[in-house]
Amino acid sequence: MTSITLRKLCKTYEGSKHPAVENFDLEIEPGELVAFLGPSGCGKTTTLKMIAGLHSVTRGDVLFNGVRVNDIKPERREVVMVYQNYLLFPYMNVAENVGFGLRMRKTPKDETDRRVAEILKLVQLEGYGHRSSAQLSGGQKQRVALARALVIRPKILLLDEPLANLDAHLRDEMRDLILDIHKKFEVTTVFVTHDQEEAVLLADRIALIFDGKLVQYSHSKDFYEKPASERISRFFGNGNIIEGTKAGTTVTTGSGAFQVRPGLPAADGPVQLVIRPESIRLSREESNSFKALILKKIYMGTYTRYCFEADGHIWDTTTESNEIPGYEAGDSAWFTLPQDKIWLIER
Amino acid sequence: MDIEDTKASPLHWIVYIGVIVSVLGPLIPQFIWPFAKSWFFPDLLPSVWSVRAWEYIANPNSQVLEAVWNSLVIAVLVTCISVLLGVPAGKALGMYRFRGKGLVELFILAPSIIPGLAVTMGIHVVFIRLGLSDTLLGVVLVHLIPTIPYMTISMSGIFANYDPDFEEQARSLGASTFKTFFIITLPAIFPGIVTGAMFAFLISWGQYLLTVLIGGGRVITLPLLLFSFAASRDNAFMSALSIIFLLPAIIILFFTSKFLSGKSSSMGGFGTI
Amino acid sequence: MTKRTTIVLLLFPTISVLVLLFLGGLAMGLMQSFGYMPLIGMNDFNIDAYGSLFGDQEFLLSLALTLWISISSTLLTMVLAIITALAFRKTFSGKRIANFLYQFPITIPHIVIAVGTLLVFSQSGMAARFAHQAGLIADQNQFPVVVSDKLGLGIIYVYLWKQIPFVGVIVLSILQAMGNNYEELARSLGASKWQAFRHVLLPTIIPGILPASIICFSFTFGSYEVPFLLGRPYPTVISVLAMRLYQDVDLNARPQAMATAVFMAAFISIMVVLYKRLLGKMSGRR
Ligand SMILES: Nc1ncnc2c1ncn2[C@@H]1O[C@H](COP(=O)(O)OP(=O)(O)O)[C@@H](O)[C@H]1O
Ligand SMILES: [Mg+2]
Repeated sequence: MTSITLRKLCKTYEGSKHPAVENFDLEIEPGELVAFLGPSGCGKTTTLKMIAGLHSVTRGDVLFNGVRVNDIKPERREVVMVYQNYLLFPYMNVAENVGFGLRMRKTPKDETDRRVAEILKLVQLEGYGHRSSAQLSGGQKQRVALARALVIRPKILLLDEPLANLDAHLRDEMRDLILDIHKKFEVTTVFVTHDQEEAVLLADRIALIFDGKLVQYSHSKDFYEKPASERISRFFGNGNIIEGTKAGTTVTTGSGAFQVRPGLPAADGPVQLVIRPESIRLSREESNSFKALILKKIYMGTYTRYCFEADGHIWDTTTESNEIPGYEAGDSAWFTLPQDKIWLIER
Repeated sequence: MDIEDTKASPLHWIVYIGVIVSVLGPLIPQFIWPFAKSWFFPDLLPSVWSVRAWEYIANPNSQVLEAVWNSLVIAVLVTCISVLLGVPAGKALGMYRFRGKGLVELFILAPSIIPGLAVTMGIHVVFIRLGLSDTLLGVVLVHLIPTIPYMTISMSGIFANYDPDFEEQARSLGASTFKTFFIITLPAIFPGIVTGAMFAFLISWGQYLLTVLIGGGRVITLPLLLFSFAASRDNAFMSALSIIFLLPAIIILFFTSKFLSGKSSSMGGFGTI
Repeated sequence: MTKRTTIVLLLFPTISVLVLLFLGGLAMGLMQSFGYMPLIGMNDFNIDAYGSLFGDQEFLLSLALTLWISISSTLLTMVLAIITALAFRKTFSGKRIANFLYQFPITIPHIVIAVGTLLVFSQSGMAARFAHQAGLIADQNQFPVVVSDKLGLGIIYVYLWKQIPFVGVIVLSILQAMGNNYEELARSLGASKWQAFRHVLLPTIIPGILPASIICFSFTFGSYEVPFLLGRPYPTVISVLAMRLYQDVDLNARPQAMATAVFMAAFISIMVVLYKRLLGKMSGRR
């Protein structure tokens, strides 16, 4: 198994003023499944291509198992990239597509055939070898692309937005397939996505990228509970961010003073208080409770969302629909910010 | 090493220089010879300069002006007729699906594949009988054989990329058929027509064989004169005529280079120029 | 107006003109090749002309020369168009001008460049003069014969000059539409640079330029001006031979001229049909 290290990795495209990737420092453990997450155009694909050796590195290093590979040709890196739009070769049938990498390695024909059949079975496309790629559905194309990459037993698998072009129901299937494959082949895998839920569902760790910069690299839970910035918090669907001032374990805000747990990394002084909508409780408790006006109630099936206002600030909370009292818009209600769920960002 | 690297290497530069030298090489001497009186091997420049070639061209007795005039009249007529016929036919092929379309396309394409020599030799007898041989009109008619297919095919490419929904939108907003054509359709296809027409003009302008067969040497055009000078290897005159012959092509290239995106539909006839 | 009438009305003028001029011309040519020329008082109907055609050594030599010239210039055009288009994909200073020059020959008439070839490559031409100045040759007769030569090199040069840009522009647009991704993907799957070209770029380019290669082949097969100016009088190419027979004062040569012309038309048609078959086969694999 192979580890990947990116050291101060930079890429500025020819003719472009702004770097597409800036000073990436990243360590991916052998056999890990890591997601590159970020909005479109932030440099995810560019980073993958530098790892694959398809695009040159402007500055910095790419290391596999601690060995610098900057100058190794892409065909020698044993890294395979699977493209977002599958890119099946149109003039080859499924089996020829899958066998492409083996043919390039001059693998004997019978071995090629055997391995192609094997891998097609694994991606549940047994017997599709003679189909032309135009006859396949989106999900099938994606599986052929995956099989084509896996058949050469790469050390590193790079998946560029593997789920982006699939219908919702196919997405779950493909996600499971990717997890299966990752487990079975024990291949270090990086996949790219702009959807944070997808990243959370699949990845061991997430590298969050904004505007060519790596802004946070940690386990997915941390992005929800310990976002490093307001923007990260918002990217993960959390808009409950309030300005306040920290002194010891007390944060004073416009909506009142709240107790926070000791040991939060933020220093005393101006901070932003962050709490996830699902962490806010609709109840009155000993501390950290306040009364507010419910502005909106949105029924979302399993969950119900309330927007409420306290001292000019709009809060957002979700509760399970079958949970206690049915408040309506216009009601006043007590809300509690549980002490252990509050996170602080230094301003 | 990497593919995205778009910079040219020294190997590429060899190709660029090769292209430039072999494209310009055969043209440059043509711009010197018309000013040469004596220019013998192995001199790189003429030893005696003169403008007699140009004087000859300007002389009304030399037939050059007549030939330029004939060439222009023929090419303009041929272009107009080709546009009038090719645009509707191109619309039919580009915008409609119908039974036998493949056959029609094949038939329209055929004249640009089958040598014009074979067709024109056959037609000559009939033209003699009809009094069309040795006339300008006869020459115009045979020039249509390569230009109409070219115009039709390139217009069908233009119409295939044209979205008829715009017309329907205009009609639904209250424009008449007539107005719709001038406000919506024409502006959309106009650049295509102009490009097609320029190339139809060039096809006719450059035509030697068809003109000599049907015009019988009576209808003198520029390529005929150039050809006879070239056959007799009179370098000064042949180069001077060649420059005049070249001018419309250069002018048209300047106009169209931005249209030359390589859409194969509009390229179909270039091989026949 | 029904759609059907619209289509018929749109197509009618073009089709009727082409039927009269093109089909009419072919039919008349065919009839005359059988010696049937009532307009000049020849009412026989025979295939003598074809018989004497295939028995004529000059005709066979002409056919061989013509095929040599058109096949080699078509193949070379394809190869050089691909090489130059690949090079022009890169960015370099002066690219706009170079690009303009690259496309420039598309509009230039063949005769102009035939004239240019005479001025440059004949034994007293510019190339020989430069060779002399460089001390490579002492006398103009030492310069290799490349105009009016046995192999038709001058003729092939003119065809290449005209056709490489014509095909090259098509290759460029194919490459542009394809982007870099397929090539990158191939590299990532383990293909070397050459393998990526051979197994990915080439299979995409070739079907796209086959139609253009038909046009190149048929044009060079039937072209008259260039081989007349830059070729030898004997053996000459088939179109020049046909024209010579046609212009013969002896009207008895007429059927033979027509038979030569009809042969050209038939030969090209058969080649195109075979080619289309090949195309169909290639696209059938898609
Ligand atoms: N080949 C290229 N040449 C120039 N700029 C590029 C190229 N590829 C990507 N870029 C630019 O680099 C930035 C990052 O692109 P990319 O890595 O594709 O983003 P992502 O995959 O995150 O959507 C974008 O601004 C994009 O426009
Ligand atoms: Mg991307």
